[in-house]
Amino acid sequence: MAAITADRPIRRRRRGIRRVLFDVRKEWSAYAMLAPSLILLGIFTLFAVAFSLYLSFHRWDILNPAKPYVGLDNYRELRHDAYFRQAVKNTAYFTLGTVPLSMAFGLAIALLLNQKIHGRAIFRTLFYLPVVTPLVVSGLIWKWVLDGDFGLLNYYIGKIGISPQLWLSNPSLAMPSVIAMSVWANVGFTMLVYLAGLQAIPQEYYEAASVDGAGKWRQFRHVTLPLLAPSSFFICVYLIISSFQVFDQIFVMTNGGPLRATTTVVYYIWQAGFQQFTMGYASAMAYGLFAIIFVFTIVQVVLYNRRTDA
Amino acid sequence: MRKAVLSASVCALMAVATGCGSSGSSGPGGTTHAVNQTVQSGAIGEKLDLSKLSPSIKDPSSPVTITYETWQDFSKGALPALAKEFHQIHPNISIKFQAVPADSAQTKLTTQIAGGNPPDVAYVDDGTVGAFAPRGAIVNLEDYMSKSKATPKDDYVPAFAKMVSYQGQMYGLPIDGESTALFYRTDEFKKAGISSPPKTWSELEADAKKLTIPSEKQYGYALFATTGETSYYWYPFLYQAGGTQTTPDDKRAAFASPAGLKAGEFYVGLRKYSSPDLWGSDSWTSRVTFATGKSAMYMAGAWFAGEMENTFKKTIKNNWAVAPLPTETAGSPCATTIAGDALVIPSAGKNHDAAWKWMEFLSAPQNMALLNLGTKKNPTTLLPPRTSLLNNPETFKANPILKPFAANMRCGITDLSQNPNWGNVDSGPLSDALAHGIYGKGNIDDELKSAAAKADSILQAPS
Repeated sequence: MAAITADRPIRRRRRGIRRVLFDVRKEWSAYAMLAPSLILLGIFTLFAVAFSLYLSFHRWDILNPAKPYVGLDNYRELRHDAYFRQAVKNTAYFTLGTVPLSMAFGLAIALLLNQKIHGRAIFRTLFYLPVVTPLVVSGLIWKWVLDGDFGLLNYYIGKIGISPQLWLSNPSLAMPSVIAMSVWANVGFTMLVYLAGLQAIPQEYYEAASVDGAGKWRQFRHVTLPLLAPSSFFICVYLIISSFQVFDQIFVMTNGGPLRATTTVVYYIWQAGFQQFTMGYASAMAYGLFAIIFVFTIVQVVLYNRRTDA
Repeated sequence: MRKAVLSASVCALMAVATGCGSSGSSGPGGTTHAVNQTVQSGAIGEKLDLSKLSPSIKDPSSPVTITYETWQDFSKGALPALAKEFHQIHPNISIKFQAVPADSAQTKLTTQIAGGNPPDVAYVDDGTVGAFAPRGAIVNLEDYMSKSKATPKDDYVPAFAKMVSYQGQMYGLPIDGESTALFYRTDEFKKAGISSPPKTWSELEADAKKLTIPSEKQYGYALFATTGETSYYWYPFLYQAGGTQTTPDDKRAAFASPAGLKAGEFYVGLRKYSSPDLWGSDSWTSRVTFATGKSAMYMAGAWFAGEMENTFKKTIKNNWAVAPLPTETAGSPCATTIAGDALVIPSAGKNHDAAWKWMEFLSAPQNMALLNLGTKKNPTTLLPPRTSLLNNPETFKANPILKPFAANMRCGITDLSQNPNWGNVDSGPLSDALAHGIYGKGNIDDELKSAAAKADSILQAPS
């Protein structure tokens, strides 16, 4: 009995492999075209993922090839590291600020640009532009906009009588400033996904709703929002994952400061790996971050499925 | 890593870039013979026979190419001309330059070494030597140095030699250097009725107070609370008060001693006279506040003089001067921090001998002088870290601005701990403690004491 059940999946897998090989032969040109991406993915993602898992159980200073095995020491250290805890807190702060705001602004802009207004295509392009601009570049520009002494923002708020603020040098303002910049950078993406979602909603629903006497707000509340749920879910999962991994704008705009107020997990991982030469510990932190993101995503999927099933 | 010297490396970038950029303005022309003359005319320092620097180290028998990774300007000026001259003397060795930005130089070199693909010679911040040598990543140079006429060990300024040494052995060849001094605005001093630069801590504080008018965004001093910078510019005060970073055995933190606390209190007290917007910045980014007169005093290395002379000449005109750092009280010991760059051979490189030939060539007195001081016609503002060059009266004829820095060098202290984990203390608890003090988020005495307790466990951890 046991032998039979054990045998079956293996045979099925064999058949599976043969099937794949058959497909490869049949569709070789498709695989050939995928090859460059697959090879890059293999080297720079899959290999890196496996190697960092290996490193997280070892101590390695990068410079010396020796990598002594240390078991769970790196993970144990993680539990006592106050800087790591603070980095997790900062990252959560960043995510809590960035995700809802990016979604709200993206939806608002998508609703506006879904109407027949003049220059719609130009606006869509303009709002999308920050998405295709490398974050390092826009981070540098924002750094100057937010500069306390010579920044554009302080210049303009000064004209309406607001005293200048130390946007990036004040420990309590630095993170909100980085969040504002990141929302600006995300909004084009959320707008685009919401626009696609909006255009997939059949016009008939709105007609039926207005026949039933629903005003604009109720149409939005009971037709648009529920039907955008798949878009919202996708955006939410995607943005939470990318917000947990925030690095570029921090690196360029604040260097994790002032007073570590913007030191996020990935920034701290970078510091541990490349400034303090503790690559094993950095890898363990990366897996800690992976665990956090993984749990969040599972929770989201469960919540979403429960809602759509109900 | 020793982040303390990071600021200096960024600075050296500019000083060298502007320096080398102008030193060979007539440019490497026509024949190689002409190039030699261009480079050598006006060069200062003992003129060794460059073809016989280390006869016992043989040239490669077949052609090799040496990669030299640096953030010096090699697009024009002295460096490409020197490479040509070098190739003439060593026909089997060609030099290939590899550019790297100063602020990511150490990260790049680290990954290159990890990937088994390092340059043959790298120009690095002296602090990098301290981080790499204990990990076996760079070659011990003692043997090469003893065989070469270009690199007599006792000619290197001891403080610089110490910075590139590990367990008494030199792993880097110091190639340029600087000390920290006090820059001040002569026009602002006049306006505030101050006749001479401060000589003691209390004069420094009193002057800073007189020069500060917050409503006009006018400040007497510039303080930085960012990692690396905040401790780097605090160390001179620590040393002047008689404090040290670690105990002599390098095993425990010593910066929370009574001297350390005194230095901490004084330094953090300057926050009242420094623009809060600069706290999150660094000495490089904020140099413009000195050029525009918004910071009337500024502590910085010799690179800063080059910046004012070149980049900000039109803004600042001649309204500035340099003074040695004030001491704690009149007549108490002087102390300053020094920083610089060095040449190293990564262990994983393939052509150590040929790499050495290039390094010793650049280190020959006449070439070192050229790289640091430029020519009489086009002076630059770095200090050659060799006693013979610093004592040479020719050195400062074209570069009088360097005099206070050279004078300062006798006060130069490199108390950089030899503990490989010191960098993590510097960029971790120590920087945090000083930053908390500057931002007014805690009592500096308590901050330093708790930082020292944390530092002990970092220093005793396996590296």
